[in-house]
Amino acid sequence: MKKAGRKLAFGAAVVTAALNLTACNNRNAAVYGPPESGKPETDLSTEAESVKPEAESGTQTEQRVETELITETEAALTEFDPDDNLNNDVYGPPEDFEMKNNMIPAVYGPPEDMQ
Amino acid sequence: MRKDSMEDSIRQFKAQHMDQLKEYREQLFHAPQLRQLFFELTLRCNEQCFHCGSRCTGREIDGLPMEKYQEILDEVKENFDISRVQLCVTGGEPLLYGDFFALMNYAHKLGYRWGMTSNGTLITREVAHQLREAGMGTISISIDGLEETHDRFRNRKGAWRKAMEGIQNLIDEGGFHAIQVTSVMNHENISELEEMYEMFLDMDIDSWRVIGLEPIGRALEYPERMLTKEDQLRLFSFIKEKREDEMPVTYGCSHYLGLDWEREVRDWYFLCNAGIYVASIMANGDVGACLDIERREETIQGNVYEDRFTDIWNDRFQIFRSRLSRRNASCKMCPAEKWCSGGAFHSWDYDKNEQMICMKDILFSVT
Ligand code: SF4
Ligand code: SF4
Repeated sequence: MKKAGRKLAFGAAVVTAALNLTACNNRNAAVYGPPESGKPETDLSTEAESVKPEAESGTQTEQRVETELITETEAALTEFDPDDNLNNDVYGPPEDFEMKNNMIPAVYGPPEDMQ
Repeated sequence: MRKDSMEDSIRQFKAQHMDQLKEYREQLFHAPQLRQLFFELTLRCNEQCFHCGSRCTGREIDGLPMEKYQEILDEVKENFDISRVQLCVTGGEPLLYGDFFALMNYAHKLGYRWGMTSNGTLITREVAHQLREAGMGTISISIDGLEETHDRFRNRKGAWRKAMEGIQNLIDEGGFHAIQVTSVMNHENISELEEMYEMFLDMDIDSWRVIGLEPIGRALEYPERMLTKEDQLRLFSFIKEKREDEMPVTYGCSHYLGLDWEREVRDWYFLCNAGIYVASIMANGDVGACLDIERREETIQGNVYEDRFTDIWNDRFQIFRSRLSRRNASCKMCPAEKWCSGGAFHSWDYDKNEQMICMKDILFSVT
């Protein structure tokens, strides 16, 4: 049995997505500034605080990052298609069923080429 | 975003999805879509599992003659979009059906995708090869414990070894869409979960489906083997943990599990597919929804010797196309009803009109 390469439990996948978004946004220094040194990117409870603002006040930037994160994650996650809510495990998915079509990009992290 | 607000958001997402699913279920009641068609090819079996839902006893009862199955396959192809239909063959042990390969080759040539459940013991290298040639996409093989336990539950020494060989033969053959192992956990074998996991880790299977023993079929004679509340929690925690670890371990289609467990232990949210996606043709030609549902007058919708399958699917099945919860006062009043809808059809007690397996107060509570 091989690893799926993604979290299969929804809650863990959402948390991972949020962490990935945080990491991406934090790495984009031009927009949000660099992460504070020594703060782990994977610390969900402090993700907003790990952003060091350049121009705006700290509170404003933190709020902006958090709002964008929630909005982005939320938008992706609410893309639920009840028609694809299938029990594919027993007999396998139909051959024309593309798992990627049933995936929500933000849940499973950003594209690999995202820096 | 703090941890508790993240958890709240996750619950919120799930609630929104399940609200959508509830609407969708109502649509399906009016416009069902055949997506899985089961053929119970035979009641013959070379094992005697204590938990068998079909109560197969080694009786020499085969399903319909091949020509009748072929007629049904032709008819379904004519009247349904078979690119959306999965043909699922089961038994008994389906490989004991005399014309198995002739029939499956026929289905394959017609363009059906098909999969099967099997005890695996008859899958030699040659059989694995024939299965691939006949276009089998997916297979689920039952392993119910470590060697001694599996053999005891199946009342057959050497069954475990043969089944494991069967799985390996399929892996060696290759070219299948998915090879799955299914394990039915009960109060006795639940202690073997971790060791079983280690065992399957070393095998090149695609997924491991772990389900609980249900009070149906022959299992009714073994109440002491039913999972306790603690066992259930252990089972679900185990699956969730492995899935968090990216391992393809999954629960089955049964039961509404509550907000904290839905979509954590399987890829989808609870929606009992009986009669809205799923139909079965039983070994005697009776037509129903899932094969595990108690067979009685109100659940049998017709017989293929009397009516066309298409007409039965289109014009009957009403019992499965309305909420089970309507028949029971506790379900009607239950705050989880909108998402649960009264639960699984296979575990409904049709005499008392109540759900035999409700996860409320086991996995979740309602106020
Ligand atoms: S009746 Fe049971 S087996 Fe059939 S779809 Fe519903 S939960 Fe699954
Ligand atoms: S009481 Fe009925 S509706 Fe509520 S969770 Fe149990 S089975 Fe579902």
